[in-house]
Amino acid sequence: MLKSSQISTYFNERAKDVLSLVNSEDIAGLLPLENEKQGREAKLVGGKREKLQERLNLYPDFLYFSILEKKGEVYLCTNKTHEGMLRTNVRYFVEGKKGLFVDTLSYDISKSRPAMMISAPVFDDEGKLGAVFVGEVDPTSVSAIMTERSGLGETGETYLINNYNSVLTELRKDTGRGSPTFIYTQIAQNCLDKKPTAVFFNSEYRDYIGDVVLGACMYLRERGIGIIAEIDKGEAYAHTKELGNRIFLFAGIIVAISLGLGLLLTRSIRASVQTLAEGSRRIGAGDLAHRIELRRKDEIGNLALFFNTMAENLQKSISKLENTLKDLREEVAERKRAEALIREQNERLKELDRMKSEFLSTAAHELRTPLTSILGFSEILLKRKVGKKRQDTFLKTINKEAEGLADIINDLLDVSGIESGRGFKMKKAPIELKEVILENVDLFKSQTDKHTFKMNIPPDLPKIEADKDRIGQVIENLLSNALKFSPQGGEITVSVEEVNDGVKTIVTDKGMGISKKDLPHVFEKFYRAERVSRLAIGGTGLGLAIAKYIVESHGGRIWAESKLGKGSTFSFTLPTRTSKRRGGRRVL
Amino acid sequence: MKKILIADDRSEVVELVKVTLEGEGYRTIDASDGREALEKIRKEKPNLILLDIVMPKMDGFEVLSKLKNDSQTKDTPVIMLTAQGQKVDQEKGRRLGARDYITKPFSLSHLLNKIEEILT
Repeated sequence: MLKSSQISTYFNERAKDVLSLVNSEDIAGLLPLENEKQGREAKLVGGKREKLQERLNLYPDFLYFSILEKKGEVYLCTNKTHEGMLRTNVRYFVEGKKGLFVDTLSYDISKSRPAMMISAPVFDDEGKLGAVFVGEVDPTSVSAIMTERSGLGETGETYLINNYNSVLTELRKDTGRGSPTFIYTQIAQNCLDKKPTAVFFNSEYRDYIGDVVLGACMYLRERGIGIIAEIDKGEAYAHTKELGNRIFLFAGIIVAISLGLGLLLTRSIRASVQTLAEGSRRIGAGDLAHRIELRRKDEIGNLALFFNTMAENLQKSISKLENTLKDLREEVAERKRAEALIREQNERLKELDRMKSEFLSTAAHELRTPLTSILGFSEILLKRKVGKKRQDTFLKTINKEAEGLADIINDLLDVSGIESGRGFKMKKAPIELKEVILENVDLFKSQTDKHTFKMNIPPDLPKIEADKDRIGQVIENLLSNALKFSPQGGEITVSVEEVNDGVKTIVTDKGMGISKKDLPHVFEKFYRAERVSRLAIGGTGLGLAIAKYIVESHGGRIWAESKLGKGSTFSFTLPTRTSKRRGGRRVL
Repeated sequence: MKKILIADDRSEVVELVKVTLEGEGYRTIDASDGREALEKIRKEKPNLILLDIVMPKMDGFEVLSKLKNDSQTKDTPVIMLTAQGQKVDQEKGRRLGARDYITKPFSLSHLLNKIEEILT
């Protein structure tokens, strides 16, 4: 009884302290300014904190003072680290806004010590709420009351131990080497083994410094804590010279135990609720890995269990969702890659399509032009009487145009064969390359008087195994191009060189040349340089593609070099017979 | 005697048309590219022009638009004579002011009919 009244007096005094503080000019001067919130100046706050600290120094029963602005943010605190923290939903703030509030003594888990807050509103000049002032009472002051020996004589004391015999509160007696951290006395063992829920009396035994004492204990299951009260035997018996005195002694012990027990029970429930509140707050804020550590078999325990299960389920659901999201993201990325690929291929197809339709248009043009002459001249021959000499001229023209038409049609068939993958058959036999070249050069010589031909062919060239007509076609094509693309005339050179395992044929002209942009494409089928179309130079864009196919079918290689405006050089290699055999028989 | 200019880069075609027209009593002038055609038209002032489209130096469409922008030549009838059989080309020719459009290969009597139609 004595202790409880002492504590309430103590609390009332502290509450009065707070009230006088909030009404003083000093605290009013420390309130946050209206426009200060955004850019709080460190210097200004620092000065205010110093003033608050000066106040605190005058009130040794308080651990710290703080001033909370209207929304609950810690604006100023003698412990700087608390500044900026939010206390919006904390009880001492919520209640403190309304009026003086004295929190119950509770066990603060985060600080591992009892905590006691007192708060009160601070009003500004206009009488409106300006802030909430909070002070935390030093728990050691409370603990001092708890451990006071009042009612237990000179040697009596109460203290707490846990399941591991560890002492939780201050001890009075000194072993000479400081207070022990663990107590293994008979009463401690009885308390922890028997776990008495009612007061258990222990007759004479030796206490933690070896004094013979009388004692009583009780065990608090919820907290796993034992409370022990004891008094020196000598003093006890001195007090109990009379029987009544003895009864008084035990009454004193019981009162001490009950008082401690009551405090502990309240503390236990409050601590549990706080653990629960803190835990649910953390879970609610998204810390789903957090579990509330409460092993109680009552409603609070059930609630904790419920929160833990909920957090676990939430955690599972969220991790499942996260995995799905990850899968989805990967799928989207995959799809984007596929789309890019399709788009790219689509572009290529479009380009091919454009080339094909352009080809169709040029091919039609190329076919129509000779047909015009063939049909026209034959119409004249059929409908009119024409002299013998003109007849011959017309027939020659018809014949020449028909041959040209046949060439184009052959090219088309060749390309169609290459396109379909059938290719075309090579009738290979040992041939004299020189012979084939001379035949073609002679043919072109008769068609032009603007060009001169120069030949550079060694006399003892090895025979090559090749299709004579097809190789002839390649040479014809290269010569035809050389003529076509040097419309001003000029020298056309045909050279042959022996190279590793084969022969190289080179056709050079001094014509218009090929641009850098077009050069890599000249062997592609249907490809016609824009410039060529603009200059109205005929052709289907098939010749070089066919030449390439023929050369490669013989195991050779064809390439072009050119300088715009200076002329072009086309070269191709063909393996000689011996090298061909070494390479194995080529199946076509 | 009516003068007709034939512009085509293929000598065989020029020869064919020349023989045909001269057989019908027309005088012919020929040109093997667009620039030559334009020069000869301005100098010789033919009664009718047969114009190929794909020609070196200047294509038929360019020749046509130049003719139509020149007060001296804008009334001379032009027949496009070409292997470009596509509709777009025909449209373009008409838009630029060509009187007619004949696609290669063509029958000679068809060509003569068209010419007669325009010149009488």
